[in-house]
Amino acid sequence: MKLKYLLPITLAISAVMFLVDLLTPLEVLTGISYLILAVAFPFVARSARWSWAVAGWCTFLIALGVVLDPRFVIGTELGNLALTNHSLLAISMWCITGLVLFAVEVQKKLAQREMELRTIVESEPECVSVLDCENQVLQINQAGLAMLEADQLAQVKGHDWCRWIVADNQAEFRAWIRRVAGGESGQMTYEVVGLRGTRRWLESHAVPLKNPGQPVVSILAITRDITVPRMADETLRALERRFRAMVEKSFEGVALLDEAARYQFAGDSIQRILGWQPADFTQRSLFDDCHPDDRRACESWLREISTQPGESRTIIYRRRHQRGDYRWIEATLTNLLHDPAVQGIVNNFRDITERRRAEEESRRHLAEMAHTNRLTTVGQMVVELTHEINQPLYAISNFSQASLSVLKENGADNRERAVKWTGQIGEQARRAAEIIRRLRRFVQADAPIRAPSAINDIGLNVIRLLEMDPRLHGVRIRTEWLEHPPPIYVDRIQIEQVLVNLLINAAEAMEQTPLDEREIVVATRAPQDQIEVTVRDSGCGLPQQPAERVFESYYTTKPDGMGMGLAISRSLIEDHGGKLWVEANPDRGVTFHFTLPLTTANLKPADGVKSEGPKGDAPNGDHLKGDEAKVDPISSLTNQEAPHEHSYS
Amino acid sequence: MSTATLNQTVIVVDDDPAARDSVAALVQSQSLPVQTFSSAENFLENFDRSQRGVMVLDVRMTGKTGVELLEQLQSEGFALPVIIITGFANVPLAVRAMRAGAYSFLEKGGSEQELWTTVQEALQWEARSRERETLRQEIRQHLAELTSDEQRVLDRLVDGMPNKVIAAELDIGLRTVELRRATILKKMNARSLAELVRFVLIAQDKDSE
Repeated sequence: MKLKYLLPITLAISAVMFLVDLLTPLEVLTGISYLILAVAFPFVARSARWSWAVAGWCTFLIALGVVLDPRFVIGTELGNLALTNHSLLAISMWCITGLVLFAVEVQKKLAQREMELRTIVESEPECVSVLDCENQVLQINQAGLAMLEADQLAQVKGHDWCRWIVADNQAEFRAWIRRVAGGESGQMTYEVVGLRGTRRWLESHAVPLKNPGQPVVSILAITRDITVPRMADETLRALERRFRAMVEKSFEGVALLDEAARYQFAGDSIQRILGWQPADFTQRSLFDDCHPDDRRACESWLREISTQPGESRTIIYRRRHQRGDYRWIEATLTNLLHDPAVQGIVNNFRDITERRRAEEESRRHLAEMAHTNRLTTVGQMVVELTHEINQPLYAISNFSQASLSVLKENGADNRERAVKWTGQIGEQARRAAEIIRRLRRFVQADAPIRAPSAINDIGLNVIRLLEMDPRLHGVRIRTEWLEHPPPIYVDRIQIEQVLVNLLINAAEAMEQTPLDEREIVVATRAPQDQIEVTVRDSGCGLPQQPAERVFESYYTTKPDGMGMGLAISRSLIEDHGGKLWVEANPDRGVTFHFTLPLTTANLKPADGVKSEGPKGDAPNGDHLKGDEAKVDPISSLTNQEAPHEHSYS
Repeated sequence: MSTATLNQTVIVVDDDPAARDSVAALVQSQSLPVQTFSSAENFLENFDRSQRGVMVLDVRMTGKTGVELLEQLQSEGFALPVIIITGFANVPLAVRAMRAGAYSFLEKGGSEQELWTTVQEALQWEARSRERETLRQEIRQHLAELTSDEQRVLDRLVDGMPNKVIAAELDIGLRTVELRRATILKKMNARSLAELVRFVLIAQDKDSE
């Protein structure tokens, strides 16, 4: 039966009983009825509200009984009086029973609440403890015991909490507890040694426990084991310190840019490299101190990487030092804008001014050596050259004398002949000039200039030049040109020189070869991203020593050789970013190979730069790959001599 | 004397067309006949050995060089004067050329008059040497007509022996020597002893220019 029906039923029964008691003198029946009510009541009195409701109802009934029974007032008739007394007694008992039951119920509820609280406290992963004002442990949960490495409550309860705290922290802890006992709440971090000796870092939050207006009786402390987070934190902090030190003390420049290329951070090395204090530098942008000529390259550099997350590019540009002069800087930008931990563009850079100067110096030295080598080559050709140049001079001399003779006489026939021969004089003069020009170009000592060139033209020039060399007389030169070779970015003279060295070398290697078998094959090819040139001979092959020795300076197998030709050739090719090597042919002779890169994307600064400019003067050469496009390859190719002609004097 | 009447030709052997044509022009401008060859081989194949004149020969040629050709011609008894032309003269080359019997050795690009002057000289020399050759043939013919006795007397006359010594040496009479000497002068068509000696030297090829 549902509880909510019980109340109205009980109340109804009590009302019926009351009427029966009032109207009929059946005492036995009345007694039984009250007994039933008394038994039923506990079920009703499950809550305080219901009990009060029943008690109120009973009081109302008694009051009604007094009003309705005048005898109660007069008290003359014994029977009725007795009845009324019975009723009162029963109702009182009824109420008392109800109240007692209510109290039991409340007690039960409290016990349940406490049990719930205890469960919560015990299952709490943090240590919950109650201390008195002298640090004595009054209560502690399981987590607390575990934290102190105690198996039983007795090992902890009643002991001074300071017993587990390391000596260094004890005084501070006591002072803190005193403050809490004085009414503050607060928090403290300290180290403890557990019962089994484990050291832990703990963090306690404590609040005073007291009734309002009364002194503090105890302290509630919630304590957390922060050993792991604290260690992690310390590790992280150490790591951060380490990386910060690495960045700040880095020999190379390290900086961080935002999207708009403003410096957000700069390592200490900035002061050494560019003279700025790191703090001052962060006010500047990537473009602030950029050389005006390099600004465009820097802009395209930034543009290229900023659109692609994770992209990294390196360029060389000039940047003004704080004191005003320009330094050559090799710098890399790495786009980490998308990385939430970085949110910037990482900029690594170094000053390569000295390195560039050294490179320039060694390149100049190489150019001088190469020039000496060319002079030597031409010196060895001097007999042939004299012959070559005398040939047209001889013809000119004869034609002019013949013309003079016939012009002294009259006649259309004579004039016609004079005209023909004078034309010949002009032609021969041009021939002589061409020989001298070809020669002059080869031996000139100008600074190397790199420009787009066609490899086949270089090869043809060399073959024409060597027609004058006695060492190549009787040698057949066969060519296998690549059709439409892509342009290469080289110094023509130096590459011609390499070919001259290789061809003379090949011819000299064939001195013992029968005349009709003396053949050199010059071939050009274009394997991936480079041009390969091969010079194959049918000569005496390589000496017994490792083939690589032929590239050493002063190594020679010839009685009058200097041993510089191949060494210089290799240096020249390597300076152009290529390789020069030799392989023995399967049948006889050797093949020299060299490669030249097609792209100009190497970082080597080009040779056009005449001066270094560390003292602020502005070199106007194109040294950035972005600027190389300025040279129009078509016009350069069609006017091959232009880069060299202007500089001759 | 006119070269035309002597039927002399300038023969040019040079592999450089311009050089060849320019020499030809030079010769033509002087109204002389010229014949050109582009190589030694071409010359050897096509040249008519009975031609008279002078040869202008380039040293550096593909195939046989000028000096090699000269040496070969010399061994064959080729008699024309040969002017050797070179683009670059050096001593060993000059020595070799002169030893091989070159008439002259010139460097290309020298003075513009030099070649023509040399050609003219060579042509005159050739004309003279042709005359001398005719004379030599005559003398040799006369010499062949001498008897062995006359020959013996002639040998000693040329050596410069007086008649008496000759008579004593050959054990013949002085008169006999005188008679034979008169016969020799007559047979040799010589007017004096001095001329006789010159004739003999010419015959022995010991005359000098």
